[in-house]
Amino acid sequence: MSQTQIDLESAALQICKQKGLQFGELVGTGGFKQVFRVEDANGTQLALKVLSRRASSARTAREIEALRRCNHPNIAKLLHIDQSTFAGVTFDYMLEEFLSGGTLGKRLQTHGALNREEVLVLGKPLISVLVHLYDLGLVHRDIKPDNIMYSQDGLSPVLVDFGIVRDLSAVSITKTFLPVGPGTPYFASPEQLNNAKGQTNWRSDQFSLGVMLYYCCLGVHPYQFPSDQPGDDMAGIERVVTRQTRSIEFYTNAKMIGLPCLIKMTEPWPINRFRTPDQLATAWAAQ
Amino acid sequence: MSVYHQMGNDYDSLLAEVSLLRYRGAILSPVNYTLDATIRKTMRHQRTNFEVIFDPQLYSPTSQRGDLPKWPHFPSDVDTADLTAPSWWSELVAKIVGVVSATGVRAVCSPAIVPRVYSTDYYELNRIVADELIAAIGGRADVLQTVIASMSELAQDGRSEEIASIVTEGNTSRVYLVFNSGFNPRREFSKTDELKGAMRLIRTLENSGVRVLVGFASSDLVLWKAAGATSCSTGKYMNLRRFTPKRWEPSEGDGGGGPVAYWFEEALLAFIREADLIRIRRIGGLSQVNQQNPFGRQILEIIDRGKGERWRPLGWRQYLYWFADCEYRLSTNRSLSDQLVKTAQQIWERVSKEGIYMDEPTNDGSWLSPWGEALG
Repeated sequence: MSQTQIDLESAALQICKQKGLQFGELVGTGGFKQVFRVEDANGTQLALKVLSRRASSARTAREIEALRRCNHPNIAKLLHIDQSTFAGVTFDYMLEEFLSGGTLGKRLQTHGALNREEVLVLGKPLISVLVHLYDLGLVHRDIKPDNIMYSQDGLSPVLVDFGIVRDLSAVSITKTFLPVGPGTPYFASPEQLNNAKGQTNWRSDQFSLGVMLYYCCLGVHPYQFPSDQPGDDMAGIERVVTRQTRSIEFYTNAKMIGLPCLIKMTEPWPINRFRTPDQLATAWAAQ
Repeated sequence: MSVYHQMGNDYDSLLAEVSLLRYRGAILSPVNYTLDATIRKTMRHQRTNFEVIFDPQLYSPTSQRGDLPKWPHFPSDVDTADLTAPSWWSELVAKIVGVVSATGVRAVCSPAIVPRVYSTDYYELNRIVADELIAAIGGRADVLQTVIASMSELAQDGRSEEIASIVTEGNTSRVYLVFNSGFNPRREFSKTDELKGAMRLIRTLENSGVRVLVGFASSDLVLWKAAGATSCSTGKYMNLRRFTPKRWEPSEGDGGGGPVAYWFEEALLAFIREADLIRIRRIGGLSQVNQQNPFGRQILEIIDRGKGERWRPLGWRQYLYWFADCEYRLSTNRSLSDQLVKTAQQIWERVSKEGIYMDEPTNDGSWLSPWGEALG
């Protein structure tokens, strides 16, 4: 157990005591935060997210601001934010709705790939999320199976973790001299991987969603070639970075499974993807 | 699918030309007239299905500005201000909205400068300014995002897609595309990679649903239409290619391109002078379409009379008629561009075999080979 985990868990215990919450368990660990399941006095389960003191205050503020503005059934609801001081250190924390259905990533590990119908069903509300974020001028920048959680009914996917959200109306936090912008490389768009901030907009989320949905269906990255070494993710990521073409197999698969939208969604240049989320939603429904 | 007049000096009479009614509108350059003169001379032509587009050119860095500084939108500090400051552009946008209201134009291009470096930041700033103008206009006029692209940059792999990605990030639905190059005024673009990049830029924008109007077009219309451009604009042939190192050829200096008359010949895809026209006609090298061109017929009658009558204004009209007619044919026949270029290459070969040398030594059809490659 790391020092950070001890610190954050201890802080979480203290927050629970202060707020009259019952501590449950650690359910997730991110780069600069930990998430705990807690329960309020009414027995409602909540997610307590405690941020490490190493977390960027600017990013935290932006995440909180973004979640406050969002109001969508498939986006995690922010219920409360505050600070708590433990052992002389002040921690930011958030209380969000608790999603007990687990992550999409876990489901894929447990049950394997999704079939076409399941991907279609999964894609629809997530595209609706992109429409909502687009209207708010927000870019999530980290759409991936581990950031899709399910509510208790196990049916509704919910996008979580707005830790690296970009607000297009605000000054960028990411420095342009950095070679790579924030995001999970496997699912990140070429513009994120090249830190091309001017091109990082909703079409970047569209790319990540396309990669994720293809991965859900076939268990591989759209830019992966059959000749790549098994488990060698870097080859595919390198092709994304350099905006190379995708394999013939990718085109064939996307068409054969009846999800041709994935071809356009994962185009290397934003200009060649769907221009607006509404266009994507229409095309997705027409498949 | 349409053509626009690229207005220049003493151009307003051409707007009323009945034989040029195929023109869908006119792009108004504020260089040649004051605001009052513009309203008096031009706006009376704005009618149903005829769109006057205001292009608030800044002509920065320095160039001949004519009446431009007299316009209310033109910033007196354009040469000294920090042109990277968003507040400077916001002020300009507000003034342009005022001009749109004062003139009653139906469309306006976003302001842009010709930069020293065509960086990503430059395109991003232009996109932000265009979005600001769209918001400020509020639907009272259509806004075209001005995109000035360097031909040499477009030759770089992926640059067209990158620019198109930035341009389409905002709310733009129309683009006013101007190609800048080191070519001399009125000379044909002739670098294959640059042409391919330019065509890729048009194609990607159009494929994403953005309607592209290529400004300052000429015979290269055949390339831009093949790439899918919705519209192209042109003017009297002497006004073309403002965005070049030299706006006018040094020997001219009268602002109108000199007194020489030109005939535009589709069979050669070239502008030719009277002596060339006579020689090409003698070998049967003129295209059928140009012989049916009403202004072309008048020019040939003048030449046949042999009295040395001047026909330069008819030459403008002959070219403008061809431009609109050709655009119409290109819009309805996808393979026509290729056919026109191949035919022109054959006719140039024949001209060479016949031992005909054009009045202008550089007028040799050498651009057609790169054009063919770009189309391929």
